[in-house]
Amino acid sequence: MAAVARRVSIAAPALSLVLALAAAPGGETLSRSLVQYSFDDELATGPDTVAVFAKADGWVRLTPAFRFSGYRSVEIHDVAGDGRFPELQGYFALRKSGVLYVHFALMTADPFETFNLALAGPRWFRLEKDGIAFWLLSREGHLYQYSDSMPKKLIPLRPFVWYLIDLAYDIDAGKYDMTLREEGSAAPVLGLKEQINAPNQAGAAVDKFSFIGDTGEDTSGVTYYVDDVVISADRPMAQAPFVAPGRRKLFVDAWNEYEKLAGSRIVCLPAQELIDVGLTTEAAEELDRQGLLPLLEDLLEGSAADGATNPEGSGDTGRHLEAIARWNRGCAALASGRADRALRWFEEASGAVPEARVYPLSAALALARLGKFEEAQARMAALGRAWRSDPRFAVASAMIGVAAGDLDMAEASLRSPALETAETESSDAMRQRYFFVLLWKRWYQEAERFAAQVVDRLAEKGQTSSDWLERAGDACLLSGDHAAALSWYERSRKAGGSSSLLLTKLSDAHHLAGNLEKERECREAVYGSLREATGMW
Amino acid sequence: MNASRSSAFLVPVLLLACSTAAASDRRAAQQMEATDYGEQKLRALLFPSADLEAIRAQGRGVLAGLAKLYERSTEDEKAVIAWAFYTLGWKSAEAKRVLMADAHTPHEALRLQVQWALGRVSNDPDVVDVLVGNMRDDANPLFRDKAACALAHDQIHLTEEQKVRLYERLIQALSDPKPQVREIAIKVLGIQTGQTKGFNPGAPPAQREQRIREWQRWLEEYRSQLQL
Repeated sequence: MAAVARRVSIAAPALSLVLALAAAPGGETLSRSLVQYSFDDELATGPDTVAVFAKADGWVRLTPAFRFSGYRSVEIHDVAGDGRFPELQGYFALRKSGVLYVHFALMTADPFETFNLALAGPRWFRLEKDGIAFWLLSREGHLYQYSDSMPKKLIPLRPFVWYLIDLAYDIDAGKYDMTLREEGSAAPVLGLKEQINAPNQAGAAVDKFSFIGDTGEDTSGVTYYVDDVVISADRPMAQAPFVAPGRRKLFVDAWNEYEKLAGSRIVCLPAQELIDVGLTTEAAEELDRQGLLPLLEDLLEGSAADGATNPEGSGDTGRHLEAIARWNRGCAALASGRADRALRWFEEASGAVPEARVYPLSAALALARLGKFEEAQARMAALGRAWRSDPRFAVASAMIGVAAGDLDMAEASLRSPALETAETESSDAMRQRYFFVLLWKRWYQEAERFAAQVVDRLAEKGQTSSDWLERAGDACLLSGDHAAALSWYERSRKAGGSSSLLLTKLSDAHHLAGNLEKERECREAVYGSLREATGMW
Repeated sequence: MNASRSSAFLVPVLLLACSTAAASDRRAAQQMEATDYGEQKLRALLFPSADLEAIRAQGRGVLAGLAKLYERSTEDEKAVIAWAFYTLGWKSAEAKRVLMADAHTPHEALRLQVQWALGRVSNDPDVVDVLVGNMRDDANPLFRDKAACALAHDQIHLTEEQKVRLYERLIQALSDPKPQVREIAIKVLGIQTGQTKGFNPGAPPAQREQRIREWQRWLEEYRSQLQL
């Protein structure tokens, strides 16, 4: 299954990004049911239903040839030596506690060919906590479970016999009860109690399932069938309704929320000049004489953080190096969410080298991270003169503004540097940040105009930017101007934009414009399709 | 260990970028010696930049040619070929034979590539043995760490019985007197099994011993499950 995770993380990073957010509870309906597929009706693929990966000779398709109930099941066929494996992957709302009930029907054509099925969490199909929780596999004619990190033989499998599997997974305990029945038989062929989950980890969360052939060895030629997948929780939970095929939230909304979450993260800004850490040219020359410039570089890059709380160097140079080391540690603490600890490191660095300007700026950021916005803003006001027009000061102000929910402040901080036509190393990052602040303020027309302005500016230099064309489309889509959004997105595609995210947003735009065929085409380019085979079986 | 792995993929590119004129001359001389047209063709697919897809397209038969070419190559070139073996991930007795000869080379780039590639070309017991040996006893901590990395991620052809053998050796390494070895051994076990059973490489010996006994009990159960 590790191979599954690897492939997913390579092939569809955007997909996991969307998945991470699309499952956020909307609170519209309360239900215990998380998944209920009989595969008789059309099932639209998407981030809240299933995805199909079948890029080689194998397939995942609906078939009327065999079914446990209704008139169709899913047929999964792997081909040995074709370089890939087919997969039916399904998604449901994240469950971190309580009991999860899972039921499905399974039938294999050849018990000596390998198949694997698993329930997993946010860490995908890795054998670790919040990765694979439950794992069944077939091998050499037998069904196995992977429990306590080892395969355990269960029963011999018979070809073309439906097996009904019922699972009650106690997430908190990391254990499950499992019953297996053969079709037509009331008595179970197997009843297991309190089985340790796959990685022996209590509290392993789950939010997805997967049915595949082999796990990457590329040796399986299995054909097997899955029907009646039902997953439910022990207590009702809020679930948003579907707003479009396969999704409870439009891709563009999920993506925008993700960007906002990422944009409100407070982290250190880099030290780029000697003055940032209070060093003069003379002091740097002294460091050079003492052979300490490499250490200074390491410290500024953060690569010497671990062993450098008391770095070498005498007198004034030692004071500076020690302060940089403390600032480094503060930055590491801030990045890992320990803002109180970070603040202490920054204050110490600042106390040791009061002439440095990046230390008090970082302290203001740490205060904002602690929710002390007024104090953070007061400190920023006092720092304004030292930073003058340095764009990092604008970025820091915007970070604090976004974190405080004060988008006006964020917008005002970024406006001037973002509209600056001169190019610097951080120009594009600054413009992106400004664009997003405009989106979050719901100033969609301004955001589109700004993106268009950047596109024009790039065109004047003979450059095209599929990213900025896409951003203009995003602004239009969020404003409800689907036709304009489609036009920008298509221009982005022509300019080379081909990401999964662009395709999903195009799918949104077609959906909102009422073009069902195109909506499906773009969505299925990312999530695959689950359809009945045409022609001869 | 994952971050180190990412940078490892860059090694061949960097090596090639750093090739000197002397290396080019040596390569030309070797080309003259190579009477086998297939070998020259293979060399062209590997140098100056490797076209793995073209090599893969030739099928598994290419492995014997690669192994032969490996033996005629400089160490920098061998590192590229070892990387090709790694990426192809196909079992090959010839590849294993030539790689094993360099399993203790002091040449850094070559050693890393060889250690990573071995488990992807063979599941023979001596591959795990040599990697565990490097993980525990190599004088260079980098080589120890990367041998552990290979044991964690790249033993892709092991059968369940062979996994038991690997786990047994890793559990033995939990008692190693070197703290770094204990640390990397539990990391490998953690990656392979998803659990650590609370083993702390820096804990007092009695506490470590208790956790090791838990690991041994687990291994016994694993072994007995395979006999069912």
